[in-house]
Amino acid sequence: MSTQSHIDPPVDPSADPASAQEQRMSRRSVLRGAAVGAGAIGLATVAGITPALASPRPASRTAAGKAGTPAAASAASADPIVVYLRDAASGELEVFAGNTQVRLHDPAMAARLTRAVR
Amino acid sequence: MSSHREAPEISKDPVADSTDVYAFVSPDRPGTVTLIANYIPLQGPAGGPNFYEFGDDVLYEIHVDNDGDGQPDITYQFRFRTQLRDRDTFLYNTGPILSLDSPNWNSRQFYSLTRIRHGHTQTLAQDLACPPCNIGPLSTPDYAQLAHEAVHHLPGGITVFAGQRAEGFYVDLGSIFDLANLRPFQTLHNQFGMHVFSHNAPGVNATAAVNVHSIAIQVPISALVEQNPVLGVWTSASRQRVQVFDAALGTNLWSGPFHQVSRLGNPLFNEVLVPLGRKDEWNMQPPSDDKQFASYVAHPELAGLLPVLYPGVFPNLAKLVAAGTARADLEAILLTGIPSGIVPGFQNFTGPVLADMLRLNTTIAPSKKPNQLGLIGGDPAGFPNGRRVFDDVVTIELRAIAGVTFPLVNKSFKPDAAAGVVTDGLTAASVPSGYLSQFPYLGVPYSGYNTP
Repeated sequence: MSTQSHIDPPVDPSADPASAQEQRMSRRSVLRGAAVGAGAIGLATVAGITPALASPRPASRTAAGKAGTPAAASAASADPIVVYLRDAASGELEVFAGNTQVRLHDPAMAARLTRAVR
Repeated sequence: MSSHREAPEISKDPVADSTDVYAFVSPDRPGTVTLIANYIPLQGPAGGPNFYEFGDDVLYEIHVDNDGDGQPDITYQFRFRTQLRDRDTFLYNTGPILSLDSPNWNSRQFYSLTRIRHGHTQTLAQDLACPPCNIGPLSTPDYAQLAHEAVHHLPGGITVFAGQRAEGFYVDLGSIFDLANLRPFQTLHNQFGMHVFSHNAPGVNATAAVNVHSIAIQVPISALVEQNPVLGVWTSASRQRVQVFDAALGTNLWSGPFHQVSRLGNPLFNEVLVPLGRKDEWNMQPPSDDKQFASYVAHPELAGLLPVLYPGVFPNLAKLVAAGTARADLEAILLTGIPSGIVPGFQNFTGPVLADMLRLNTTIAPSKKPNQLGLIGGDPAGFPNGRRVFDDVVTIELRAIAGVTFPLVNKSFKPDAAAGVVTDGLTAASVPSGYLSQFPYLGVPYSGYNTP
């Protein structure tokens, strides 16, 4: 688990005020569409996801191996990425994709996200 | 209810709400064990056009513990997939459904079955068909045959079924939730001084005309028992941690690891024993952590209420409660199993770990003359030795909490006369559908036409 994330140039909501307005949420809300990781997956990619991907079918003999974890691939490249800014003050973020979750500590990213929705 | 809508959060998520778990040595195939987990409570049979179905986004599991640690040694996972044939009709079916591949059936469900055994995951089957819901004589004219087609036989002697069934659990909800005013004894109730009832009345089965969705699997005993012949059984449902409603797609997106939102072992455990403020928390825990809830078993709230609600009827129970005596009998029944030496010729002990699981001693053969009161009725093949579909778990647990089982651990205690007769007034005969004598044992679901 990283204590400091490596972030591609973030999506700057200020470049598209209308978009930022549409996505206005409270600080502790789930924030969608933040670009995290090398893929820089944004809203356009999310819009292409089909409902079937929200309920992946299990594959045979995958590595899950424990109760509570489905036998399915972890995160496909087309999966949406969801970022939850758990604590803006400390920069604690949770990033979700597919069946996976990572926790990041990135005050700078947290500050950008906070500015984007305020 | 057994576990229908038993906690605040899960009551708002019926697709993931477990209602009952059954585990018993199959009476018609005594070399096998049948495990059933029910979900989606209180289905009105006429509830179309979007009839009830499993959640494609829910991870359903049945767990088996065989070493007494309250953690699964074997888990069966069920994942569902809904397929819509025609998006341009509002109809569930456009003609009679005469087979599982009927072109008239629009909204169909399929599922995969995966087994996890000691960390090894194996998909046992994919694309198994569910039956439709029971709609009526024009849509599902031979429902029993349709359901029979949905019983799938897999390699390894495994039989599996997932689909709608008649509710087999019977309970007088109306009376129990009206301040435990059991109709057969309501004249003995304090009635809060209002003198509403002057006559006793027979029980009313509140679940007499509703359906559930069952996940049922029959497995050779030899495939489950590795050490102890006693199996610990429970079910759980899990959802991914994040849900986002994508307005552009008009659908929910789910993301992240799965997180348990519902579980069930012994009937009525979370419902009756765990207080409201901790029910949601309980649903998220594994049985292995149930020590934190043990005080609610040792000192059940209902045991203190009975003598108050029924003045003078439970004097010995009142003394027991007033003395603050821990209910070691209930701890054994619900949290550890009953050790040998307590009930002659019987044990379903799994060890010292306190864990809410159904405990089934697989060496006890099915009863030729079952007693729906199970062990307290002299039938060791029934609850709390596992649970059969027809067991009267409401009466059994009422009587146990009222003190009828306390002499098992303290022979000097004399149960009140009422403790041996208290009941909500129902029996297995109160279930109109009846039960099947073969897998999946729960009755044919009530049809929407005949049960509007």
